[in-house]
Amino acid sequence: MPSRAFVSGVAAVALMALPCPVFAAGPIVFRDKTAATGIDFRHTTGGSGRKYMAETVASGLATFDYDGDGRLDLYLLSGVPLEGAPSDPRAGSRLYRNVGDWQFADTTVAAGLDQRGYALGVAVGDYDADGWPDVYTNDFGPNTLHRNNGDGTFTDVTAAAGVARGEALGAGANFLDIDGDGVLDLFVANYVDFRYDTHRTSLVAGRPDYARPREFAPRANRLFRGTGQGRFDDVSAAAGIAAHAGAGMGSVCFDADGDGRTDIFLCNDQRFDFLFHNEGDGSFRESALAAGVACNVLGAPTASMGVDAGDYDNDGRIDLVVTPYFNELPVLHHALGGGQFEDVAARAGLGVRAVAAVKWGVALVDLDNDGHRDIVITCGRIYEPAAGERSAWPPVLFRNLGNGRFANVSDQAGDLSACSGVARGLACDDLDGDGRVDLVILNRDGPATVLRNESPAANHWVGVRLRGKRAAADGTGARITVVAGDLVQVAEVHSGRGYQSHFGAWPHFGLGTHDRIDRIEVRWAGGTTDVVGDVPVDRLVTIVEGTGPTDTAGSTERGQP
Amino acid sequence: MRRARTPQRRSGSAATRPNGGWVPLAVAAVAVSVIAGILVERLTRPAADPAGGRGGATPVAIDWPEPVTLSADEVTREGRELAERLVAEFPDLARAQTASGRLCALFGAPLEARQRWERSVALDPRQAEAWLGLAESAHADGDYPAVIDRLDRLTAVDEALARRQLPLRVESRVRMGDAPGALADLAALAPAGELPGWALVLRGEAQMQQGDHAAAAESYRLAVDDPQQASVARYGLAQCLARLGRTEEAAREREAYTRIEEENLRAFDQRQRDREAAPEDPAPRVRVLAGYHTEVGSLFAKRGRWEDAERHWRRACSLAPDMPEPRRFLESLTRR
Repeated sequence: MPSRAFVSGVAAVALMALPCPVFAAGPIVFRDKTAATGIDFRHTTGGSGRKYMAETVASGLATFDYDGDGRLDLYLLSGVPLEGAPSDPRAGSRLYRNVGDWQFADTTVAAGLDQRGYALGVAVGDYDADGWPDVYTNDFGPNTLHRNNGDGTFTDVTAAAGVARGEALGAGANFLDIDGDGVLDLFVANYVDFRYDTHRTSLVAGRPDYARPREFAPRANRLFRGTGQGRFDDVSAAAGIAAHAGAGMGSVCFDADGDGRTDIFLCNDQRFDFLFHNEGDGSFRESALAAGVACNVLGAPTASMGVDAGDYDNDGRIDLVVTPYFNELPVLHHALGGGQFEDVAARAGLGVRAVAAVKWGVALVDLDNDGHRDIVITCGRIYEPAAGERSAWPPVLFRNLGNGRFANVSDQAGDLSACSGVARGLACDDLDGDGRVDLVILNRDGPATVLRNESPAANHWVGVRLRGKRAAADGTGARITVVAGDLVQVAEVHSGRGYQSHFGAWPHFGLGTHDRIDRIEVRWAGGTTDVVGDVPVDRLVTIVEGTGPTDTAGSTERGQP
Repeated sequence: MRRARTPQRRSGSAATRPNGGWVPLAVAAVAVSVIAGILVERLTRPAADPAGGRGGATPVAIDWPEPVTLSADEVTREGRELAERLVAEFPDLARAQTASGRLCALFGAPLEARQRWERSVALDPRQAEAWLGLAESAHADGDYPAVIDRLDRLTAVDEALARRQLPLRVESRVRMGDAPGALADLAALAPAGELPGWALVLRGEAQMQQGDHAAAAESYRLAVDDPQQASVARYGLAQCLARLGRTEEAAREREAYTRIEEENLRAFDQRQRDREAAPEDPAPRVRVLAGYHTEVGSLFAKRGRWEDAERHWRRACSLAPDMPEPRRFLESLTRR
């Protein structure tokens, strides 16, 4: 039965629609707004010169609306002094409230997020389904879960939730709904088995430097199942996650094979990447090699750092882009269907001028609203530079040409190429609500970089914010299909992506010259489907699960109530 | 991208990651091989005597310099200093710019190397070594279209040298997604059955890019017995078989690949440990440096700057006492 479109599910319109003339797509242009934002954050690795392994992998960041004002705020992770380093009272992660007009206020202390952990990765999700996004940070040492109180403050509920997990050197983290019950679960990645008592260095170019990751034993990762009562049970062993040790870094949870269940992809440094396939019975099967995502096209287990999941070629399947080490091409795992992938990075043009730097943060986002997702990659060195080498690198921007290929336009993107840093995390979101996705880069031992997207505003767009009722309250795991004429795009709501970061929880769709959306279809993580039709463009729309007349023909029953 | 996949790219790795180091090493390996070839050719041919001496019939008494040994840091420093001296003394001499660029590349200054080569070809577009250096530099940057352009320039001035860079050309074409170009280059090299392993795996990858998984599988299958290419060939073959729906065969190839790759990683780890235990032997680079001192001495000699020439030839003799050319030049100079 054909779906009956409805518009009453469009419950909120956050932005005014602007009459936009139709132009051909212009260039992608960024302007460095850092100095004007009031953001005085400075990341630290807390190093003492002893070259602890933790310093190499710090840190990610998050963009999310913590106070519900419709503006996306920033949470910038940092290390703190490690053993042997002098104390630094300013060191630590910082929360910046977006107060509009490109001004950000440091609300870390007022919000109760002035933790002193060595923060490496972050995921945001509404674990208690109260409508307010909560924050989990994956640290070197005990991890933390902060519950959003809904009044601009957070409470550390780590102990009550049972998700601290001790001494590990953490990496990425993701909220996900493994069984479609509407209660968020939590995947926590670990890097190698580094501790102070396992510390060592390596000789690099004849000098003591950070140890190579393969000098340390691999570590297994953790999976926690949400109980729905504010606690999580560690199901790592029972779910089959603990059986696989690696050197985890960035991670993303997505539906790899279109079976409606959320799988887990994890980058591993110098080891085969993992794809934990959700078997639907609470267990996961590691299947990366068979799926074609364990390594690159050369069969090389790359030094994978970050990963994003998105449909780059609008074929309705979610692809993966992975950022590896220098002298390695980015990896673009093109989804073939049936859970199979093929690395097509070279064919897609991702090899061009993207191998010289170590690559970290990554995002598949439409930066020019032409309906085709572009790729941004942050870069930065790990080891001490030798004479003639450099530590700081500008980001790399690949513009999607819409024909399966990308063009490296890094040097034609305004201030982008001037923003060199020893970058790690990257977050991409529309910070000023103008319909263009902006960038925030976290630089190791340096200030953050905020880049405003000032590309010509010729194309149309729509942002989609989900409100689950029986599915996850923040829509995590939902798949959104936007149909505008002959342009059909899909995206999923991810919690945790890129390099140990979190962004894009309100999926953004460029629409090109299409000035109406025929329909938006949401397949919630529990399996139900909502369809809204005839949606206006150039705004953020909120779709509430099951609101108004909905056509769920063809969908499965909801999962556990 | 990774490991040695072509004959030039099998040199020992100083990379800190198993898959991270082969391109600069490939460049270095190519550079060393080219330089070695050039030096051997120059130092063994009956060269015109830059000292202008009267042949070698009459023995002469020479106060030969004492041999010296340099540490890795010292040879690097001296190589960089020599590179700077070259361009300071001969700012408008293309050959000096080329040599300076090569010294910069060999001794850890890749950006300066590129600048010197660019200056060299601006002064004299017939500088083949400079075009090659620029191609290698572009490859290290991942600027594959520029690699092809510079190799084309090289072909125009030194076809034989350009022919020896076919792996670099084909690999660059594959990395930039130019499958037709890569396949055309390989077809001109040899029939498929006669291609070496490195060419077969690149052929397979190009065929995969064209969506011809059956042909790619055949290319990979031809390469699986080449020990240097076994891993990539097995993996590529498994991927192609999976695409062709031959899942059981694909699974078998994946298993074979996994065994090879695990062994490769173990070997990589061991190499890293060995390298840490035994730091770099600077002797090969010292010998290259001696060759450059000889060349620089010749440049001075041609300008009648005999004292400078003698100083560089003596330095070459002290660095590589068994190298014949600087000894001959010094003897010749003494006879003048």
